[in-house]
Amino acid sequence: MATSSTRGTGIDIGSTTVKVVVQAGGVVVHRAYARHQGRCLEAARRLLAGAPSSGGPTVVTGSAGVAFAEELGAAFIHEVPAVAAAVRHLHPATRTVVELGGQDTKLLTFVEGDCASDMNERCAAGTGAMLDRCLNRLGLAADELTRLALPDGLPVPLVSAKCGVFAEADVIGLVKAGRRLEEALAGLLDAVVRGTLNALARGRPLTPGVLLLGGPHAFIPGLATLWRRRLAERWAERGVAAGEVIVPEGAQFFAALGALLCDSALQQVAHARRSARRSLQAHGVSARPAEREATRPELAVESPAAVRVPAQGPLALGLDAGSTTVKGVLLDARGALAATAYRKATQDPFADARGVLLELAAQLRGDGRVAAFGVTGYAAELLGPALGADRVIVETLAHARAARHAVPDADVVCDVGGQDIKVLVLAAHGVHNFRLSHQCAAGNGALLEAAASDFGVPLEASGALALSATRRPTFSVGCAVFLDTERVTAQRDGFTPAEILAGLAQTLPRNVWENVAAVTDLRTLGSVFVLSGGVQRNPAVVRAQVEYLRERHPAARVVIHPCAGEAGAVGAALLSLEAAGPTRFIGFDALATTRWETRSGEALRCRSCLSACARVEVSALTPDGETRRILTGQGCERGELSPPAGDGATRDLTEERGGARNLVLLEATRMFGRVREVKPASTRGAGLRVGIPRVLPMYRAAPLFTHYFEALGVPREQLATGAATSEALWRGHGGHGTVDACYPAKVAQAHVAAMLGDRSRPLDVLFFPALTHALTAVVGCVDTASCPVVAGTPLVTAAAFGADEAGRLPGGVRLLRPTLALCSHPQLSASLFEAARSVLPGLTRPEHDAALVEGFKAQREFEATMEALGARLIDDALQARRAAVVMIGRPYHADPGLHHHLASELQALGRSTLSLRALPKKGLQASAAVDCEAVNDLREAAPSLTNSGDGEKLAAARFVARHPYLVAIEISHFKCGQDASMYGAIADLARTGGRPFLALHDLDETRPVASLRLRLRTFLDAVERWERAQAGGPS
Amino acid sequence: MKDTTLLVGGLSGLHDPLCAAALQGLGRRAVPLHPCTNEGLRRARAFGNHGQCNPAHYTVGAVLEHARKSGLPAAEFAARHAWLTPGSTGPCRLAAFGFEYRRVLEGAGLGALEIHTVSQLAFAGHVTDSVLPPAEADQVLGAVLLGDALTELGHQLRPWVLEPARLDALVLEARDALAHLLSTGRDEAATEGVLATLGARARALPCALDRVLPSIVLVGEPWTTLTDGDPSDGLVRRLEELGAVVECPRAIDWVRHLLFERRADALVDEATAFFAEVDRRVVSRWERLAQAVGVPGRLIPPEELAALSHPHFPASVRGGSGHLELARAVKATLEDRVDLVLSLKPFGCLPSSAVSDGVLAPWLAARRGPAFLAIETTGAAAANLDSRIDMAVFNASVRAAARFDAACAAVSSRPDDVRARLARLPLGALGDGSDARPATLLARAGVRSG
Repeated sequence: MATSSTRGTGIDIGSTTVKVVVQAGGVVVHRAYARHQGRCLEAARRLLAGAPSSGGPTVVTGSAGVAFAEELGAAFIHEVPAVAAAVRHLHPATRTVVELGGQDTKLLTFVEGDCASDMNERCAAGTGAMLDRCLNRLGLAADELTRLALPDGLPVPLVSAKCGVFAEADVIGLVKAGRRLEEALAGLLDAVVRGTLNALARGRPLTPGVLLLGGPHAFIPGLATLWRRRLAERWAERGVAAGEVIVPEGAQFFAALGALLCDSALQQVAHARRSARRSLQAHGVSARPAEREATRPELAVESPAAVRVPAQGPLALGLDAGSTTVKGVLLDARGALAATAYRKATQDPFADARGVLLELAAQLRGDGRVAAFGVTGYAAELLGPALGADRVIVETLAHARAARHAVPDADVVCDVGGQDIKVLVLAAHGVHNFRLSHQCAAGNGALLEAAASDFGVPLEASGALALSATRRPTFSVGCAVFLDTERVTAQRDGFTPAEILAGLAQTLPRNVWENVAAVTDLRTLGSVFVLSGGVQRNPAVVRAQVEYLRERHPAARVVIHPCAGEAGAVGAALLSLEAAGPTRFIGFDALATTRWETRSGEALRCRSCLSACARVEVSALTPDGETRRILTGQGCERGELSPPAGDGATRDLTEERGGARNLVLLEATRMFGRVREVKPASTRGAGLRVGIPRVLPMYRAAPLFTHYFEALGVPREQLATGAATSEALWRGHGGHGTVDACYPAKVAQAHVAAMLGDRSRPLDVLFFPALTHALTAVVGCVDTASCPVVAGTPLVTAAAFGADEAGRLPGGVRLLRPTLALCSHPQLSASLFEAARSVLPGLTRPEHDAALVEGFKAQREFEATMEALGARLIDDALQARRAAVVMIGRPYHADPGLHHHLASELQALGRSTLSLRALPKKGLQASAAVDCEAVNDLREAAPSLTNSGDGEKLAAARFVARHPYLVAIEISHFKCGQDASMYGAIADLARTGGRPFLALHDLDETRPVASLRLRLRTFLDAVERWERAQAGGPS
Repeated sequence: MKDTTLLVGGLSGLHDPLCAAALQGLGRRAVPLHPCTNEGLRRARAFGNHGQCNPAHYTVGAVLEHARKSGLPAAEFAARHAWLTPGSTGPCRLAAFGFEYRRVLEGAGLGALEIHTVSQLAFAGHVTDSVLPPAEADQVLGAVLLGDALTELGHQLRPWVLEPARLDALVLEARDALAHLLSTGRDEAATEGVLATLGARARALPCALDRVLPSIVLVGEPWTTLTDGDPSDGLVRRLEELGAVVECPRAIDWVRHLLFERRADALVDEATAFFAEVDRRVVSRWERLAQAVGVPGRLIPPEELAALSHPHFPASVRGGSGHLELARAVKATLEDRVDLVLSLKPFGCLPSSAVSDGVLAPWLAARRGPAFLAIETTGAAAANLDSRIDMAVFNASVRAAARFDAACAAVSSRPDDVRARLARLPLGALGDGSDARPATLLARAGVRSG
């Protein structure tokens, strides 16, 4: 295919960089590399002008290269054959290539001369761009990662490998919580490696002889280190002989060089693409829409200036240590603004805080002194205790307080920060209800900043530049990764930086109100809207927000907070004034001279409950040699008492503690144990060891299956059910999935791998049924089907682990994956019998029938026990007038590792929790007069539902809505389309009577501590306010 | 319902106008909806659930767009119209789309608009549906099959004709003629006449049968693979214009799949026999139309598909298109008819992304068979998506060319000579346009082994 051209110029124009290679006489005589900052054609022209003439042809490649090829009249080659040609030419022994770019990641596999290729799907887009964004947000130089050393033994924290936005949030959270920078960055790079393996390799071990190409590999040695570690682990696990993993010299130039080596016949595809796109538009496929901007009138915005007072006398100090910026204020005793300070956040929260606070100190006048000190923001938990804050305040409450202070009749606060979007509906003394961006809608503020930075536009000038645009592309709403991909596509399509910035600004209000707030009628929220957050400094965003609100709510009064950027700090200062006693603030002098060091690690992990909060020890070193140590990061006060080096045993909080019960954990624990003694039906299973993975369908019917096998003679101790999901399990055994599904499905493969990998007690049989239908208390819907992923994951498991057509796995274990419909006894019995008989020769139908009876008895007894416990808990909530929390989710959400120990954290904070299983299903729930059967009858409410879990979740929300002391948290995982269709209906019900509701919709493999804590504390504060109102007190 | 105008939509730009016309022919007031667009998707999303996959929002978005363009106040529009759409948007059985439609319509002030979701089984006739009585459903089924026939003709000929736009114009002209016939209640002979004329005129178009084209089997979420325009980003047309033969699922395949499921679930033999008879009638009608327009219209029996997939994906595990994705890819691979298996689905489509791909991709990889590419649609353009498609088509083209060269060598012919023979052939010599196997090209060129 490839014919080596001895002379010529190759140009590779990617999403963020341009690369030029000039070859003469078969030798590379010139190479150049530059970031194009959104002006790819200009950059390409510049680099080409600086290159010597080769006397040969010019060939262009890269995702943004077609337009330049047309401009030059040059040939265009797709980058995959270009890279493949260069690899064949320079490294012919290579079997696998991983090329990381700004937007694309490619996996090339060479087998007997053929080259197969895969590229990332949408969710894994923007790997290189994500690294840039993270560095930008941490205030690090673009080359910071190039210096990152990864010595053996350096802890590598788990960072989400699913999505760039999630990874970014995790890394920022780690740094703000005090983790060492090199650890957080190592976690980030590790996520890139694991993500590439998950998304592109589809569970395959990469064939040794691996070449790592592209800019990130060329410049970040740490990536190669982690590739070598992860691949060595994977090869060892799969029994593959290890091989080389190389980053070749000039790894970023392979596509440009390879373009010169390709046959000109390969140009046809690019030209066909252009022609096809034109034809598509003639057949109704939309071209990228662009809206005109020119006719928009001047807009009057209510933006009152803050009244300044001198920084004298007793002052309240407020610090908002956010994800992207750090802000500080000094207020006088009446809350008037005396001083402000603002700076971009870096990787060192202490240095940031010191900088901002000393800047405030410089503004003190006369007898000015700090009398109260409040801290809020992502790093508040770390900084508050170390700096002597009188109050550590959750951001939502700080913003609410600041809004009410500036605009006493404010109804709604909209705060857009770097990471989170908050929409707060205010009550008399706080937050009545709230909406916070989910992970998937996070980072929009930071994206605007990153886009400006990428274009080389100063942040403060980006708004004015956007307003100068006369047209703008229309972007979709929500995910920042998708938005960034669209931004790059708009660049390719010829939109200028000003136009793109205008388009991004225009997207923000849609994301806030349609995606985050998700209200169809803004009038229902109130009439006075206060906008805060640093992004309100951008006039293009302000204009878009105000226009959006006025168009949909003409009577709305929209006010920009007088301290929009510092509103969180203002709120923290105001709330600190309410703290009693003298301030604990360490003082500006100590601040200037104290040095802080942090330490983290497993030894510091809190063992008070299953939340197992990762704590950080902060050491404050004063000039006189004194060292003060503080533990931070714990979710509750127990963490302050728990010794740093525990005995390693996490205490079981299934029992009542301080009046709070955790029935969710109780359910998850008990269902895999023996529920009742079984009456033996057969002894044929006596010699078998059966694995029943603690995953998806088992949380529906584990007692049925375990007792069935026990009744068939399998000793209880030979029923291996594994452990609950944990980070260690995922880290140790993840990576077998052939699809990048939702976490509950992906982690199922890790459970299976752990069971199969336990050589000390090998399995004979792995039982993982395809559960197609459930037995449910809900009636009146057209079907009771399982989620297709629950039903289908056993099939994916069979494929991923290489089962043959009879279900035999490579190690000899027999995988049983019968299709079972729990709601149809004949089908269930027949299918289960057939499966059991295949591993228990001679099993008779009467034996099977008797065992199945034992299984059903255990299942029914377990359900009845949980319902009885739930009924008692609900009654107690009413008696105590203290709301219990119903965790609305799927049965498998009882797995504590899937809900990231939220139930344990709630229990530690004094709230009882229960899942849907523990809600009574029959009769009248006496004390609260909830008709249990009526709430489960969906004939009128939702007859068209087909999914059992949908119906159960809806019924649970109906139960909550009818009980005076129940509130709900909805749990769902990223990419759960099955749940998505019910979000609105469940939220509407769960908010009945103004009760607070928390939706955690985008959970994934990592536990976003800061983000979860913000949501949980905002929710619990609102619950307490609601309880007081329920009891007739002030809200 | 009799007093309102039915908005008919949810399939494709060829199917929907014909379905509306069929209802007009039965005396109903019916109009086809405007095609689903990204703008409609955006409007629907503003009122819908975050995270909901996009077919629901595309489909109800078309209603919002229709209402907006009508210029009527929302309440008046809702009072004057009712919306008739097949199944629950696409044929995805997992989704609570009725819930979602209602939420979006209420958000847009169209809460009073009646929604009639018609089971695709109703189209097969004799299956009671509250909206479409059997006789009317039968007429609509005829329109759906006509839409399939026109679609199939396009797929079979477009890769080979020199000017696809001329073929498209002929197809649209035929669609309008058929719609006129349906709306005026003309008989089947007349419609078959229109199809025959279309077939003859299309085969007179200039062509290039010497093209060595890669074969792509399109699997994935049924609605997205069936529809055209924005929801699939015009993917099939784009592949065809990039130079590929694409084997696509048809509406009739889904109807037959549903009948197969009914047969599998039947508790008594009479029910099994009944659904088998319905299936035979559907097949017979399709074959007449396919013959009239002159496309082979090959149908694969559902039982055969179920048997092919059974060891890896039993047909009893349902949801989305279930085992069909695997089965169609397996069949095409075993018959050596495919260079690329392309799985198209909306972003977040659980059955396809999280299950079918997970079984299919390793199956293909283990055989070192055709390449596999999964594409998720979001309604937004993406440069890297274009790049992935280009790359996959490129690789498939290389594979097809290599296979052709090898086939020529095996019969001691020079590829250029074979191409020269093919170049002289008219479009009428094409036969099955979806068959681009090297052996077929050799046979078409009249080259014999030895």
